[in-house]
Amino acid sequence: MNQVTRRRRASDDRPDRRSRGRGVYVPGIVTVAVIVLGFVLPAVLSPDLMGLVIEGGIQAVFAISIGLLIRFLGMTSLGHAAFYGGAAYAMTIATIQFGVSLNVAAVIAMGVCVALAVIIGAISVRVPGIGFALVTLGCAQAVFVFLTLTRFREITGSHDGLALDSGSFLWLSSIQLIGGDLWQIVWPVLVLSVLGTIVLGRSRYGILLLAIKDNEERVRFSGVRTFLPKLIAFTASGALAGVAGVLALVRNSFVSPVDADWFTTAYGVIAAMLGGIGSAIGPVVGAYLIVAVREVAGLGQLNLYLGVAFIVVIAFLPRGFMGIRLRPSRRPAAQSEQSEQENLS
Amino acid sequence: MTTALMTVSGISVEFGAVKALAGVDLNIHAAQIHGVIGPNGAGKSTLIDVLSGRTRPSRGQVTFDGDDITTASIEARRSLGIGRSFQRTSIFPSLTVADQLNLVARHVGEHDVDTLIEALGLTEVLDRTSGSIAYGTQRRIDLALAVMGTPKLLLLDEPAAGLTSDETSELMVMVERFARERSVAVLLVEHDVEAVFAVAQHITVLDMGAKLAEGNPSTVRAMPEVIKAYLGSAA
Amino acid sequence: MIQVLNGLTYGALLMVLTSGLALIFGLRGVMNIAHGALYMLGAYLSFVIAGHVGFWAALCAVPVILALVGLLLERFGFRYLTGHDVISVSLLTLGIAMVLEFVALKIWGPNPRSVDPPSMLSGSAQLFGMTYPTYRLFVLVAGAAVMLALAAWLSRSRVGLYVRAAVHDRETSAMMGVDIDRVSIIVVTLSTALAGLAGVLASPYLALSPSMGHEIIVPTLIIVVVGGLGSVAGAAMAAVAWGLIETVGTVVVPSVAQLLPYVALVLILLWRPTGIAGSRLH
Repeated sequence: MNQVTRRRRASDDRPDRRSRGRGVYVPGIVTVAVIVLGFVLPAVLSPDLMGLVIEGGIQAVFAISIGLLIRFLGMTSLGHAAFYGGAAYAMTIATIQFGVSLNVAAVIAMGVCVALAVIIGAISVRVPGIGFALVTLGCAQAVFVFLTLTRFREITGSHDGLALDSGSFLWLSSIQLIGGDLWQIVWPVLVLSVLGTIVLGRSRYGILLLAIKDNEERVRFSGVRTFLPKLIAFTASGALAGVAGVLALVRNSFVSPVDADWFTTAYGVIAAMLGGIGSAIGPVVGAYLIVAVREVAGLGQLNLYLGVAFIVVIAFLPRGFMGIRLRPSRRPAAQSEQSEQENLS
Repeated sequence: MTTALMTVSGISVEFGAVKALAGVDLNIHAAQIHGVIGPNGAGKSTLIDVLSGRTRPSRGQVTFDGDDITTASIEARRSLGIGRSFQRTSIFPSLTVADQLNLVARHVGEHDVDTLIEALGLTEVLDRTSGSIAYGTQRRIDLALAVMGTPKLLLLDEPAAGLTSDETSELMVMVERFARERSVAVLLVEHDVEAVFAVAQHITVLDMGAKLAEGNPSTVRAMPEVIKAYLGSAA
Repeated sequence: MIQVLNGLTYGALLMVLTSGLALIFGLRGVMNIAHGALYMLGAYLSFVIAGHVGFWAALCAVPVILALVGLLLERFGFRYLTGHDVISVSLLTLGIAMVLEFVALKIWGPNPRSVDPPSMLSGSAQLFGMTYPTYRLFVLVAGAAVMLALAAWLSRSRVGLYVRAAVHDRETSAMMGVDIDRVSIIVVTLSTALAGLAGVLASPYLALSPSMGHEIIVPTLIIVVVGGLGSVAGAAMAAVAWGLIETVGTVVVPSVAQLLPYVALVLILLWRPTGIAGSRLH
């Protein structure tokens, strides 16, 4: 057997790993409980509140998609609205132009979204530093402008947007889609996204991405071409954003250029960073925070509160709200490394 | 005379008007420790950058194992068997020592990480995040990442930078033993001249980007132009 | 031909706007996303001052006011956040942009406003056998003049030399004795003043709305990237190119003209991933 793995398991017995065994069980039970309880929500909450929970959940998936790239590659994309809005548009156009069912249209939408992500990714991941963010922004704006051109108004609806033909989606009828039943799809997607983030963090691929984030040059000097790993991560992230877009479309039955505008991405970035990208549920917390603020303060005030919150968080709480709890103040070396490890998941 | 593992012919590197390297020739033979010394600004690090693929030369050629690698990519050179360490420690600060060693080991085909870990004294820090450990230990991780997979040629860029003289001697002993046991050629760029003289079989002296002298340690040591270069620049 | 003039005019405006952004990026590696909002603020201030005193007063006063804003931004923003990574600071400027946009919305409302050009510049002029709005010519000339002045100052004056050195390589300049803090203040205040100036120039020419910053920031950021982050000359060239492509495009391929600059962006980046003048990584 490969000695590399043998060494790894031996290190699990070391003293500073001692509580890790116990640490696995407790979060495990809590996680399962949370997942089960999640499904119960529609029965407990009012329809209005349920609507907000669903919306928050969809935005959370979007925020997670953006957060993944920040956390694992240190790359902040400002162009994810292209995938979110683009997938929604592709799906709507597919139903209108080709008359296919929502299910087929969703598959087409994901195909378009992945293709778009590969193209934008191939251009942007090569650009170092902050240039990446701006290139993704530029590409996304290209998509936005394309969707608003009057030339293509018959297909895209230009500034007016498009309405989705009604129909059933997966196991839900068109009536059920408007109500709280959509949660049956949104919740599993959200749970899988969060679990996916955690699994990625412990996987070999995840560690490779973190290494690229830490020191891309050294990764190259170890014989690894970094373009493909980065592109794959970008594409997966874009695909997840597309999933969020499809869910949003199914909920609203309507898509407009706003869904592909850079401000939509900005809200996603803000959600991810408010909640904190250091933890897997940070972006979820951030997304729900934004939905809550919007409900309480109204759409008009939203930018003010978000802007201020964002400024405060970046300046004083770089780990976001979720990071407050996890930052150790003064702890002996072994323990603080352990919490560092926990932070990574 | 055996054929060289790596031949460097007429390598020049120019940044605008600045000539970092001007027509350097040298040969590195298999299983040999070839030291490169010279005062500050002599171009030693630039030389390693050219050989490892980080800097493209303005002129000249580099061949390795018979192949022309002058324009080969960094990744390709590693696959061919050229490893390098860094003067400014280049590791992965947020990964644990174990994780980064395993990561690189997988990609360069290193099957015996344990021996390497023990040889470099990294057993105690395996589960620590490498950004939080002592500088000297970090240097050893940098070295470990370079030697994994037993490259045919190891380019060591001032491995003793920032180390005490005791640590430096220890390091040189490790390098010498490693080169001998695994039959690895080593290009050792070092500022600490005595350390190099102790382990190298062949020395090249650079000054102001050009080759000043070469030969075995005792010969080079006595050359007047070498002494002058060092004393002249108050190294 | 008219479209070429339109393109040059718009390009001139963008030149003024993007040069400031390029300077800040060059010095601090930060993308000031609030730059668009500052431009919007400049335009609204121009609206207020022009409404009470006159356009020329606005032209003089607004850049000064915005320079003061820049001073605050540097002292309590950028200088305080030097330890943070540049992407975080850039995102923080996004927060600032959002707040500024909200403030403008609250004070002036969402409806578009306009500013009349001063009587001296209203109406049209005869140029090359065509009639062209005088004010737009003014923007074109003023924009070019500002850029020339900026270029001259950067290359001839001593302070300009320090700024160029610091923007090019901050660490080495600091080691050589350049007072980076003072240069920083100069660069940031200059940048915000330029944004304000662009706002004043734009106010009789474009419609004012709280979202005008939001709308122009994307082209601005892209121009700076394509020009090569940190290069004022590169940004200037890219700005003019952008203006020309968009306006001339409306004649040649009207239906997709708006898309053209973005297509150009993609093509340029495929050819040169680091932008025209090359980027520097901090």
